[in-house]
Order: sequence, then structure tokens, then C-alpha cells
Amino acid sequence: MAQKTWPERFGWILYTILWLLLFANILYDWLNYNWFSPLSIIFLVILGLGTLLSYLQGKPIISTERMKERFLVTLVFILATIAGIFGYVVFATLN
Amino acid sequence: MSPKDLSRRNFFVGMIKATFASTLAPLFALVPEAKAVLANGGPIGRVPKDTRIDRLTRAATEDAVAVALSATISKQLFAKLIANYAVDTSNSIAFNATWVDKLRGPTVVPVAVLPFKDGQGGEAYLFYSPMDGGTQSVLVELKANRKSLTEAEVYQISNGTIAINRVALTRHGNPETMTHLCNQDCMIQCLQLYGCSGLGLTLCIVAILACPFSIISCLGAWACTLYCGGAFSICWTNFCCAEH
Repeated sequence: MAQKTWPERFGWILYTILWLLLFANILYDWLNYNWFSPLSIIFLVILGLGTLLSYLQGKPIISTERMKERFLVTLVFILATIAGIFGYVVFATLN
Repeated sequence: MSPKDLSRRNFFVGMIKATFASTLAPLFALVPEAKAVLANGGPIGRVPKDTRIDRLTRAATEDAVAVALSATISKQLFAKLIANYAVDTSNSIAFNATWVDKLRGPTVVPVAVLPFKDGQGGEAYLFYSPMDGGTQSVLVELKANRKSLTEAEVYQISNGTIAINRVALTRHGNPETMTHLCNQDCMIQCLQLYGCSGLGLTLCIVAILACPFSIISCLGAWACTLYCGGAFSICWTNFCCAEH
């Protein structure tokens, strides 16, 4: 197995924290409210299926190739979504 | 990973697929409004709009309250959940709800409503309804900040097991106080109902931070924006800053 670079190690740490947080969120909602947050379910489906598909296709889950492009495209999507929702809220409030 | 595996086209296709996945109909059953309906789905909650309410006499109310307080299922709720609360029997009410059921014909359901107070401003209400084969005891505990949003916890008992549902019961409806209600506190309270606060929000932030290292995290971060953005939109337009 090739030696992991420090960005890859950092990526794995973040990915592990993401999973831990997801389970903590599910447990917290269930123990306190007897309820599963839809956000947790969405994350569980995306992370679970994504990880499984990557594993089955033999693709790396954590990759440091084209990090910048990946992040920027996601940022554009997120900002576009926020702009759309904000536009809708303003439109709904004014009407 | 080769550049071909992470082409822009693949990325866009993944995003479009995720859009459909995140809006699947069954998920709507989990949102607070739907849960509110489910939580109140007992005989009391299913009462039709044209129901006639007949308040019982003082003597009959006292009897109904005594029956509600002595019922085993009510005691189980009191013992486990609101040990600090004291019942306010003087403000208790009892009524008969009458409506015409399509299958069973005229239906009369007696209901006793008992208010509870904890001395620190906490309020809870017990709805007790002795019905043939389906006696109901439902406890609704109003939470903090109830002036801006009626957030409550509904306790229902079934076969000795207590189920707790966190719900948004009603919208506030006073236009004169709308400006006052359209504030940060109300939005935070409302977003909490959707799970978009605390751990949920931390999850989204970590997903954004992990995005450069994994496309799966990018999808999660974007789905989070869609979901919590949608929750923000609902909270703003329907709850906190709604015109009534």
C-alpha cells in the first residue's frame, strides 16, 4: 500500500469525524426526541451509498486530486442554492 | 483516481441524481408538520371540523377529571414525565365532542382536559378520552419560547410504552405581534425542529470541510444546503414571519 500523504491523512480524519458526527446526531435525536432527523437520513444514504459504490468500483474514497476544482464547483452549487432559496423567501415575503 | 473518473460531467450528473434522491416523497413523513398530525392522530386529533362541543356541567367535569387522574395510563405519564408539575383542577374542563361518523353514525367522545403547571412558567395539558376499546391519554408539554412558536412535546402511551414526539402544534396568529415574532430566536427555535441546529449544523460544516477530499462529502454538503435551506424557507414564510 502506498504511503499516505498528509493531506490524505487529514482527509481521512475529516471523513471519520463526519461519520462519527452522523451517528452522534442520529443517537441524540433518537434518545432525546424519539425521532430520526431527515437530515441524518439524507446524510446516511449519501455517505453510505457513496462509500459502498466507491468501494465496489475500486475507487478511492479520499482523493487529493483536483481538490480545488471539486471544492469550487460544490461552493458554486451551494451558493446558487442559497441564492435561490433566499430569492424565494424574499419573493414570498413581498407577495 | 484518474481525471476521467472525476469529470465535470460526472459531477453534474451526480448532483442532478442527488436532487431527486433528496426529494423522495417518503421523507416528507418525517418532517415536523407531518409528525404533528401523526402525533395527534388519536380520537381527539381525528375529530372532524364540524364537530359539536358541549361543555359538561361542573359536577360532571369534576367526575371526568377524577376519572382522568385515577386512570392507570394517566398515572404512568405523570410518574415518568412530569414529576415536578402540579395539576390545576380548578381550570380543568370536560366536554363531549359529537360528530357523525360515516361508518359508525353519530359518535360522542367525552374528553377531559387538565392543565398542569410547574411553578416556573412550565405548562402541560393532559387530554383524557375514555372510549370503547381505545381509551386515550395524551400529554402535551409546551416548551420554552412558546410565544414565538408553539413547540411542544407530545407524550402518548400505548401498551405501557410512552412515545415522545416533538412537534410544532400551531402557528402563532396575531398580526399585531408579527414584527416582534419575526426574529432570530423564533428562527433558531423553528430550525431546531427540523434538526438544522447543533449537531446537525456541525455535520454540514464538517461535510463542507471534507469536500475537497471526497466527492461524497460534497454531495452531503449540498444536500444539507438544500434541506436546511428549505427548512429556513418554511420557517420564515410559514412560522416566524408569516402574515395571518
